[in-house]
Amino acid sequence: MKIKSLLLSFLIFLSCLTTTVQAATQSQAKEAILTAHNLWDKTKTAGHEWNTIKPLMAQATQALQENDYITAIALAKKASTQSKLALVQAEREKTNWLNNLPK
Amino acid sequence: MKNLLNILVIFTSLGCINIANATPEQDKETFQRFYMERFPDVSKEDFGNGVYALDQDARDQWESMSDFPPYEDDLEAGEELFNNPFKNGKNYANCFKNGGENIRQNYPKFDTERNSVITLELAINECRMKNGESALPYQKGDIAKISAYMASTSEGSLIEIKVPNDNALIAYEEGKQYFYSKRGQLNFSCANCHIQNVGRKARSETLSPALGHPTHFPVYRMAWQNFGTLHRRFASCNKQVRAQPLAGQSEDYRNLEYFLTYMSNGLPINGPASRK
Amino acid sequence: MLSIKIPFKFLFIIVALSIISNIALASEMDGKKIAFDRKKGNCLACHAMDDGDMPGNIGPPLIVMKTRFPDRAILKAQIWDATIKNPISIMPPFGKHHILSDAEIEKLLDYLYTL
Ligand code: HEC
Ligand code: HEC
Repeated sequence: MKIKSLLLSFLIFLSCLTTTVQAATQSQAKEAILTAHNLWDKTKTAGHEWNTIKPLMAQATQALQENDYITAIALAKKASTQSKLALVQAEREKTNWLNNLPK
Repeated sequence: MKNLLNILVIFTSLGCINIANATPEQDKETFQRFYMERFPDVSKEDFGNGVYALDQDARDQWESMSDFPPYEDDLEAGEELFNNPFKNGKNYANCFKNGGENIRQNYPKFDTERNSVITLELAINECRMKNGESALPYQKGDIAKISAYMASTSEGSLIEIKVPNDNALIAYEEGKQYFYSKRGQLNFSCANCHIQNVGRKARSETLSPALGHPTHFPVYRMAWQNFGTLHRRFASCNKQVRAQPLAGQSEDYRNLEYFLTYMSNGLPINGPASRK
Repeated sequence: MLSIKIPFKFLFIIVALSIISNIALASEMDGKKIAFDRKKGNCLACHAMDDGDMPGNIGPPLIVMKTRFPDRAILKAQIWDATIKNPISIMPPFGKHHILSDAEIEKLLDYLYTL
């Protein structure tokens, strides 16, 4: 029994390492989606929205509705990352576009 | 506060103009010269034929079907729609100069009272609404058919877009910046494909010159199996680079069309046309 | 303890499966597939390479990579963000914009060095 428990806890530890199991609550998922939403809106205002963000947001919202908070948070974070990159792109292109002019 | 913001916006825009430091006329000269030097054997007006000006094999195929263009029925439908009176007895001819004939080359126009770029499709819908009709959906369908008929009455007329005042210049500059800015997850500007790599192949697709892009719209694409407006094409190109396309007739697309059409000043209207 | 109610074998299988699936996921696509797949690298859109069908000619052919890119970091940088070397490069910044994951890019590099 002892060895079995030991083995089991070791395996659980391993699985934590690989899947980063996280306790996730509904409110954390909602917060992650809200943050992602705000960033997404900013990319629209900046005129640099990527079309990859909308489906991520839809999937995150869907996961939240299905009480799958871990998935919801992961997708919302992915959307946030992309929005931040789109905003970096918008900022950079404020001057970089001039390099594109035909010579 | 709002005034302050407006002033700020105007100053930053003016700042951009200073950096770019060229009048629309100078821009147009550089733009057209770029293509004419790159393709010395292509005549200026032939750039309106897109990839077919650069790729002889594709051109042969395209010309073999020009006796029976795939858009014939839709073009006829467009003429009918154009001539059909509204419920109040008036029709499109009442809304436009010259009864709506031979005017394509003057669109888009900058309306100095409304401080806004008016494309032909926008003007068509405004004409409908003024006469108590509902607006048509943009991008495809009846509006593209009507626009195609109107373009056909301008066959051979030279594009003549004007930038009448400073507000128009701001709209022009915004369109210009849109054209040269990288967007989407894949990080492409319109210029990346249609200027820097014009004539090269992305997989098996030859990239067309942006000079001549607006001369032949609406386009009947075999991929669409119907007419699409220029803004529909913008949306397709946005999607290719994983950028979210904008709504047809959004301000950004109208400004982009304004800039892009100015770059083709002096080229003859040859729309509607068919494309792969 | 944890295992009092739930049968040990059952838990063991679940946990083991989760580990295996994690490992499997990472090796799902090999480098060549990543390079050719239109939704992944789509390098063929611009580069002739290997036995790829109908390549584009926007970028240079990807050949003799070992000789031309003895330093793996330099090759990786080109794929990670081509705009560092050329601010208007048409080549997508695969790493920077999360078009490909780091693991995918490593696989891609392994494959490129076979060319
Ligand atoms: C990834 C490369 C790429 C980018 C970036 C791109 N396009 Fe295109 N575009 C194409 C391809 C491919 C076609 C179809 C073949 C052709 O006509 O070039 C096309 C076609 C077009 C056409 C129709 C040409 C015709 O003859 O009817 C227009 C207009 C156009 N693009 C405008 C734009 C604008 C404006 C942008 C920027 C918002 C843009 N494109 C960005 C690849 C691109
Ligand atoms: C849209 C076109 C495009 C795509 C897609 C593209 N590249 Fe490129 N690539 C280029 C261009 C253009 C260059 C020339 C240098 C520059 O402008 O950055 C280049 C340069 C390179 C170089 C340096 C080549 C040399 O001989 O110096 C490598 C390596 C490379 N690309 C690998 C890739 C790989 C791997 C992929 C797919 C994951 C890829 N590229 C996708 C356009 C592209």
